[in-house]
Amino acid sequence: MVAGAQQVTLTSSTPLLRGIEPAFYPTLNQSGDRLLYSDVDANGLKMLDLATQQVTTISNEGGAGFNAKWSTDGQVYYITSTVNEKDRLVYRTGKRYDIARYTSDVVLEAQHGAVHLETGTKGMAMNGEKHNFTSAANRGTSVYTIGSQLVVTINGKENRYTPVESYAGYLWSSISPNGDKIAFYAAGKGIVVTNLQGKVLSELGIYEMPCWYNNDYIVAQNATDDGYQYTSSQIMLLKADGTFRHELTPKTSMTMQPTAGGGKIVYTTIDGNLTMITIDINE
Amino acid sequence: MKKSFYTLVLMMVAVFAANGQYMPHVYINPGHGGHESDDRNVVIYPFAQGDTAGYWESNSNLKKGFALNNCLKAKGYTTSMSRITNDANSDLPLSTIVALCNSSGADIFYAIHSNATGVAARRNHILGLYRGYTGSPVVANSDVLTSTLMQRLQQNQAAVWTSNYQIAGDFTFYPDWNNAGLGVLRGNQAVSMLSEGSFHDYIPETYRLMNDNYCWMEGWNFSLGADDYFGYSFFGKGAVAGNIRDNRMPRVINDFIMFGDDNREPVCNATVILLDMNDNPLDTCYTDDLYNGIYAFKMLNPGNYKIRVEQEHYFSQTKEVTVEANKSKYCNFDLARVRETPPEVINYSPVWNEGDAPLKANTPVIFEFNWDMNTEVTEAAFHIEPAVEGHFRWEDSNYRMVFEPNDAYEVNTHYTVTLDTTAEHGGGMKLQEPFTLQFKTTYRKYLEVIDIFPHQGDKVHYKNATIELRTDSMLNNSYYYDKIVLTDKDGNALTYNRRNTKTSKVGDPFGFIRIPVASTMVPGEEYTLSIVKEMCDTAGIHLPEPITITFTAVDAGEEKPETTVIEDFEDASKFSIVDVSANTEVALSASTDRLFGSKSLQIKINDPLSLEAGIYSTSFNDAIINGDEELSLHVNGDMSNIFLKMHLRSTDESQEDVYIDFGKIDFHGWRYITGEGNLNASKTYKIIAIETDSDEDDPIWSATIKLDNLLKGPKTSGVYGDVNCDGTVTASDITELYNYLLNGDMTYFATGDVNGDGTITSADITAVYDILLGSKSKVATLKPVTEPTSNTNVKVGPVPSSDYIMASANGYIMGVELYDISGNLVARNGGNYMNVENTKDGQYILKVYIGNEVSTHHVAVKH
Repeated sequence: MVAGAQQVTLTSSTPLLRGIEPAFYPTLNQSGDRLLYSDVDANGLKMLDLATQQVTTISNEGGAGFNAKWSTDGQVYYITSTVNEKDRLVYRTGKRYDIARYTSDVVLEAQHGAVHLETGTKGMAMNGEKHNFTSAANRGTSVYTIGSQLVVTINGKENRYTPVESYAGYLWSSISPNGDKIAFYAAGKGIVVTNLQGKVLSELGIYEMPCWYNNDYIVAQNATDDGYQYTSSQIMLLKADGTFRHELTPKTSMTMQPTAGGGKIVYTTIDGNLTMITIDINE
Repeated sequence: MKKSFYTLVLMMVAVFAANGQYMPHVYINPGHGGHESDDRNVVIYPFAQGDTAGYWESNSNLKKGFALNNCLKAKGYTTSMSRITNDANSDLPLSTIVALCNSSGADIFYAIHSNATGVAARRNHILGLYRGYTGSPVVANSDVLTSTLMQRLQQNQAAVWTSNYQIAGDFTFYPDWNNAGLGVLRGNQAVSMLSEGSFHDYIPETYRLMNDNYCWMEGWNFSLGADDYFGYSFFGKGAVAGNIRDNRMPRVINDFIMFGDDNREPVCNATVILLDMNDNPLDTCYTDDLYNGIYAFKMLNPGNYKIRVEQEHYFSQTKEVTVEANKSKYCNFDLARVRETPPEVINYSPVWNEGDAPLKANTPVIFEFNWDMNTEVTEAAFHIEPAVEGHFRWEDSNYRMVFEPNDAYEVNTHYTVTLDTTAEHGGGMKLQEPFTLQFKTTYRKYLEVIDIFPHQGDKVHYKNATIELRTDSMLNNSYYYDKIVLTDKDGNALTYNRRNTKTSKVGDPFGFIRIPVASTMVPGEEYTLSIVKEMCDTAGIHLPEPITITFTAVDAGEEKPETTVIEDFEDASKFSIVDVSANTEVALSASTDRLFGSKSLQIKINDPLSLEAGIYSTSFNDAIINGDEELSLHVNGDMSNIFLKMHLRSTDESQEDVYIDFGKIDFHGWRYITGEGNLNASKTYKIIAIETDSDEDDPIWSATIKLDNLLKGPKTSGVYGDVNCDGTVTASDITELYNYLLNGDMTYFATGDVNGDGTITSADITAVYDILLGSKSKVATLKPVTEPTSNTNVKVGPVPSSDYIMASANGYIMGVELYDISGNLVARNGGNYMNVENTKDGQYILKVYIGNEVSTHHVAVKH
C-alpha cells in the first residue's frame, strides 16, 4: 500500500470448475456472468455460464484461448493458429463465436504474420499483416498495440502513440469502462495509464496483464521467475492514478491471469485452479 | 561484392513473396538478464563475484542473440528480440515474453540459454527442450525445430563435449511436470524451443562463453538451424572458427574440472590471419586474453583458404580449410612453444645438509624447472636411493615435479635423489648436468593411535553415539569426514553431526577427532567404523594401516525386569561431593541428557588427574543390597578414562568396606554397566558413596559424565555365552543348553538366554556356536560418507506456508517431494513448487531434485 486510506475487503471467494478441469486464460464478459477459459497452452476455448455452471466448448483449435475477447454486443472474438506442414510457417485465423447460435464463423482467413485484435466500444477489428476485418465501420473508441505503439481509434480516426519507451513492445491494452482512459503494459516499464490522446496519467509499476476492475481500479498479475519457472505470482489491485496498491492474494499463492467484469474478479493458479472473488473497496 | 550479395538475398526474398511465400518471423529470447538473482554468475579469474564484466549467463545469451538476429536479418528473415540490453528492466517476465512472441506473429521462437549442473558435478553437452512430451510437442514441429538446431550446435568442435546432445519435451524431461513447464514455452503459439547451448559452469566453457566470436558462432549456428527447419539453402556464406591451444602444456589456471583437450593451455593473444591460397591476407582476428583460444572468421564466401596463427611464444602454424556455404567449419590449432634453452633445475626441495635436523618420513621431493618438462621422460630420469615406492605429481603446467613416497621413507635413513641427463623439456632439449640432493629422515614414520571408540566388539547405545580417534599428534582437520566412515550392516554410511564435531587444538596433550553420529542406529545390528590409512596428522604422517572396528548397537536403557531401581538420580540436590584430593573443581548438576525420567546426574570435573572424589547422598542409606545381588548403573561416558566405583559397607559393619568396580569411562554415550566385586552372599550392604578416580597413565584435562538409574538385582554377570558360568565359552556350554532343551535340566538357567530374546531355544545354541567360531565379526566395505545434501544454492520458502512452497536454485529443479516427519511421502510435483493448500498443518521435509542431486529442507505448513 503506497498511500490513501482505502480498505479492501474480500467479500466472497468461489472456486470455479474445481474437480472438473484446470482452467487458464480466464476472460470475463463486461457483465461478469460469462467466463471464457482455455487450457494451459491456450489451446481450445470454452465458455462457463456462471449462473448455471454450464460449460460450452467454443473451439478446440490451437491458440484459441490466448487472446479471446468479448465484444460489447456479447460475441466472442478469437484467433487460432496452425503450423502449415508445407512451408512450416504459422498461420493465424480470426473467428467470431455467436453465443446465441453456438457457432463460430471465420471472419479473417488464415494468413501469415501477426494478427492484432482491436477492442472498441462499438465494435471489434482484427488487423493482420495481409488482411483485416472489422465488425463495424465506426468502432467507437478502440485500442490495440502493435510493437511499441498504442493504436487508438476514435470514431474512425486512428492515432498512434508511443507514450513510454519500450524496446520489446506493448501488450494488454484496454479502455476503462467509462471510456476515458487506457491501460496497457509496456515491456520493461510495467503498466501505464494514459488518456485517449496517449498522455501518460500514471505508471503503476512492473505488473502484467492489467484489466479494468472499474473506472478507478485495475487488477493485474505480479509474478517473479528464475528465468525458467515462476517463483511467485499474485493478483494486485491497483488504483489507476497510482496512489494505491493492494495485494489481493499473497505472493506465494501462485495466482495469475486476472480478469474482471461486472464487479467480479477471476484468476487462476499455476496449476489451473480457477477462483472468482468479489471485493469491497472502502474509500 | 558485399552489396551485390545482399542484393541477391533481397531478390530471393522478393521471389519468395512473388510465389506467395513469406519469409519467417523469428522471435529471439536471450534468456535471463539484469545481473540479478535470477541471472547466473560464474566466478572465473580475473573477475570477482558479481562483477558484471565477468561471466554472466545473461551476457553470453545476449551476445548469441545479437549474432542470431544479425545473421537472420542478413538472410532476409524478420526478427524480434525480447531484449537488447542487460539491465533489470530488460529481464522481462515469462508471461510477457510469451505474449510478445505471440503478438509478434512469430513462426519460430528460440529461447537462448546455457546450462549449469547446480552441483559439484561438471559436464558439457547441449540440451534442447520443447513443450510437451518427447515426440509429442504441444506446438507441431517444435521437436523438428529443436532437432535441426541441436545437430548444428553439436558440430561445434571448438568446444569439448562430454556427450552428444539431448532433446526432450519438457514434460518428459521433468517427470510429473503437472502443467507447469518452462515458462517461455507455456502458451507460446510459435514453433518454439529452449536451447541450453552448453554448460556455463564447466569452467573451460565459461571462458569460451566470454569470447564474442564463440557466441557469434553459436548465433550463426542457430541461424543455420532455422534454415534447416525451413529448408532454405539460398544464403551462400559460411564461417570458420576454432580453438588454439598449446600442444602439450597443461592449463596454468587449472583449479577446476577439465575434459579432453581442455586440459591444455589455451593460447591467448594470438594473431589469426585468413589468407587466400596465394598467401594474400584477407582478414585478421585475435584470440583474447581470457583463456579460451577462440577465433572466428564470419560470412565467408565458399572456397579454399589458409589460416595462419602467430604468437610470440609459439612457432607459427598454417592450415588449409575449405569453407562451404551454409556451414560452419572448425579448424583447431595445437601450437608448439618456442623453448630455446635446455632445461635447468631452478629450485628444489628438500634443501638439506649433513648436520641439519632430520626430515619427516613423508617429505616430498620437489624440482622446479625453467621450462615445462616432458613428464614421462623426466620421471624416468628420477632415481632415489635406497629405493622407495612413490608417485609423481606435476604442477604449474609441468614446470614443477613432485615425488612423494607411497607409504613413508624408512626412519633414520640417508636418501640420495638424482635426476639424470635424460630429463628433457617439452621442446626435447635435455638436462645438461645430473642434479643430486640428499636428506635424512627422522625417527617417526607413522601416526600412532592412542585410543579409539568404539573398541572392537563394543556395545554402543543406539542414540546420540559419538566416535573418537586419539592419536599421538594433532590431526589434519581437512577432509577427515572422508577418512572416517561409519557404516551399517549393508554398507550404508551413517551421517555425522558435523557442526558439533570437536578436534584437537595446539597445546592439547594428544590429537583427536570426536564426531557425534547424527543417524540413529538399530539396536541389535552390527556396525563398522572404518578409518583409511590416509588419515594423517598436521605433518601429513598417516596411519600405518587402515582401521576397521565392528561393534553392535544396543539400547542401554532397555528395561531390566529382574531389577529394582534404588536411585533414579532425578534430584541433583540430594547429592553432595567430597573432594578427597581437595585441589580439583568438581560440580554436580542435573542434566536433561538422560535415559529415564526427566533428569540425570551430571558430574563435571576439571583436572581429573588429581581427582579422588566421592559422591554422597542420604538417599543411598535407604538401599540395602544383598550379598548375592549385583549393582548396575547407567553411565553416560565421555572417554575421560576416569574410574567409577561404588563404595559399600556391610550393614553389620563386621568387615572392611568393599568396592564394586564400574570400570574405566573409556567410552562415549550411555552404557549399562554391571559392577564387579566380591560381596559376601550371607551379608547385606549399604551404599556409602559413588567414587571416582583418575588414571595417571591416561590423563585427560576434564571429564563430564552422567549417571542414571542405579539398579540392584540377581547376579547375571559372566562371560557372554558362558552358560555354565565356568569363566569361558566352550563346547560344554552347548551341552548345557542341549540338556535343558531335551530334559529341562540346567543349573544356570539365568545364563541360558544367550541371544537375549527372552526364551531359551535352539537359537541360543547357534549363538554360542557363533561365539566359538568367531563368525559374529565381519568387515564391511568402506564407502565414502554421503551426508544429506544441503545445496546452498537452493532456496525454499516461505516457511511456514499456507498455499505454495517455492524452491529456486542455480540450476534446473526437476521436481519436489514433500515428506512428513516420519518419512512418508505426502506429495510429489515435477515443478519447482508444492501446493500445500490441502496439506495438514505441521512440520515437513521438502526434497528438491536438481539433476542427479537432491537437497533436503525443513518446511512447515500452517493455515
